[in-house]
Amino acid sequence: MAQIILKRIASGDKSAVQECLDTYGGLVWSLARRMSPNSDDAEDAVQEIFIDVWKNAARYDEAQASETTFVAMIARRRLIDRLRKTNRQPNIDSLEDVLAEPSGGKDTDIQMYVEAKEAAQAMKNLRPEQRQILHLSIVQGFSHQEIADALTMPLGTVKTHARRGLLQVREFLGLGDKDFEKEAAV
Amino acid sequence: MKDLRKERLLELLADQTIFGLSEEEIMELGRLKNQFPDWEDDVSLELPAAMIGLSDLDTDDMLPANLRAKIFTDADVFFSPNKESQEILNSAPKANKTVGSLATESGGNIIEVKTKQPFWQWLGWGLAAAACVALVISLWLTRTQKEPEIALNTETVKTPEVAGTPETVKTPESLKTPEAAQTPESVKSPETVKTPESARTPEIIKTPEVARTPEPVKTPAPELTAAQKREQLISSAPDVIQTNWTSAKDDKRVLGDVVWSNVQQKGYVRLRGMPVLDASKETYQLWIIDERNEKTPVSGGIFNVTRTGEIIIPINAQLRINKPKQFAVSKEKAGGVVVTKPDRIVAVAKI
Repeated sequence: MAQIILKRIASGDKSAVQECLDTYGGLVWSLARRMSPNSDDAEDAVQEIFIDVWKNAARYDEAQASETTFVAMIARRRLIDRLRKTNRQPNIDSLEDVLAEPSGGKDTDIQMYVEAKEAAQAMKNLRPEQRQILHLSIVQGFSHQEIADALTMPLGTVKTHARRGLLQVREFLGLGDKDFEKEAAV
Repeated sequence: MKDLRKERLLELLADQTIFGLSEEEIMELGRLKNQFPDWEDDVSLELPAAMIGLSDLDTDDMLPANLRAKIFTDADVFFSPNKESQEILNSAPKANKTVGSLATESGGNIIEVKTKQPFWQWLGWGLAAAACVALVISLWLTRTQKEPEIALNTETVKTPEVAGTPETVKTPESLKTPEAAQTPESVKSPETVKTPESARTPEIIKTPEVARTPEPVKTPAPELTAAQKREQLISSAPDVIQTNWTSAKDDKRVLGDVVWSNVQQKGYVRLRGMPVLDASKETYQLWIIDERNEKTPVSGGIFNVTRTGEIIIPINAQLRINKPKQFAVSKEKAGGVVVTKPDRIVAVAKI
């Protein structure tokens, strides 16, 4: 049933807004808190994200991804843009703690989302450094510079690992463009 | 050459998805997308990143009620079928309210604001206006001494001017709407109908008085000191918790406490015996360890100690605290840090 929310939004059905908030409010709020410097920023971001979701609802293609992934994608796009504009860092975990724990998280952490499990499964196919860098950047919200400093790795290498890792995850998930899959081969 | 550009496009798309881009990179990406329009709306990299980002996500917290209300307000505007008409509709009631309060002085304005009349109805009004003009000219020709009053009159003022003629004497009474008849002004001032002087829109004279009524001057409440705010929090927040500081290092003795209200998300740190720091080089930073996410201490703000004695600092939690388990103060470089290390902690207060 949740899968029809965005279609209803796209058709201008305002009554779907409540369902949209009930279903994705927690997800967007959690992402916003993870990727915002403070709670005020997170609240502003959530408002912007939901407007973005409504604006982009018509672009949702259920053949590509679930609504959850689509909403998370819109949220990430807005949150990254806000961080870039304000040139601020999110309130993030201690890098020492993160590095001490293997990336990927516990099963209980990801049981809520099938998509997260699929992504975690795809991540297992990556080289350790690719997996670690993707986890630090996407899940933990560290900048490439912070990761480079923490791992004593050149900035360009961090970026390369991240790019290649993401392209491979895309390929494992079957979301890739055929031409680009060849180029992404490492 | 084309492959290199395509490769660069892919790099930028990946970087954008993972880390975000600089202004220059955004422009470069825009140029490349123009060359490869098929990639304009591509989300094949953003989707896997979004899926990875769902890991370790704590979605137990619901949206705060006030934020939810704001989003519903946004939805009202966003889903308005016609934003222009929405604006007109929004403004119309305001106009009605404003004019409605002055209904006895400018009923004609109400008609203009409320409705848009079809042409044939306006034609009727036009004919009526022409008849009025003809009547006025007729009166002017026969009773030129009344001219100034007629010129000043609105509908309500016309009545006394034409009171001499039996037909028009009846007119004002019949034109009175029940509402107008019931308004205190109408009831209180029958003279306005009888005497030309008072009939000259006494409300118009009153109106500027109302308009000129100054807003009540709000005297700013005196700013409370941090100590007073702390006491206020303790006395007003039923859920307030209080715990004492202990030094994280044996060589220093730190005294003081923390008070915190989880409902209000507000609290104060009271400290005594903290070493004075050179503010240009070092600062103290407060941390809140949330029971739900102990690995991610939330910064509670930075503060400097420039004198000995007791200091009271408001806690400025950067994120909502679900349930505080511990507070800590670390010594950091000036400006504070995003993450701290255990060896920088100088004081802790456990709940």
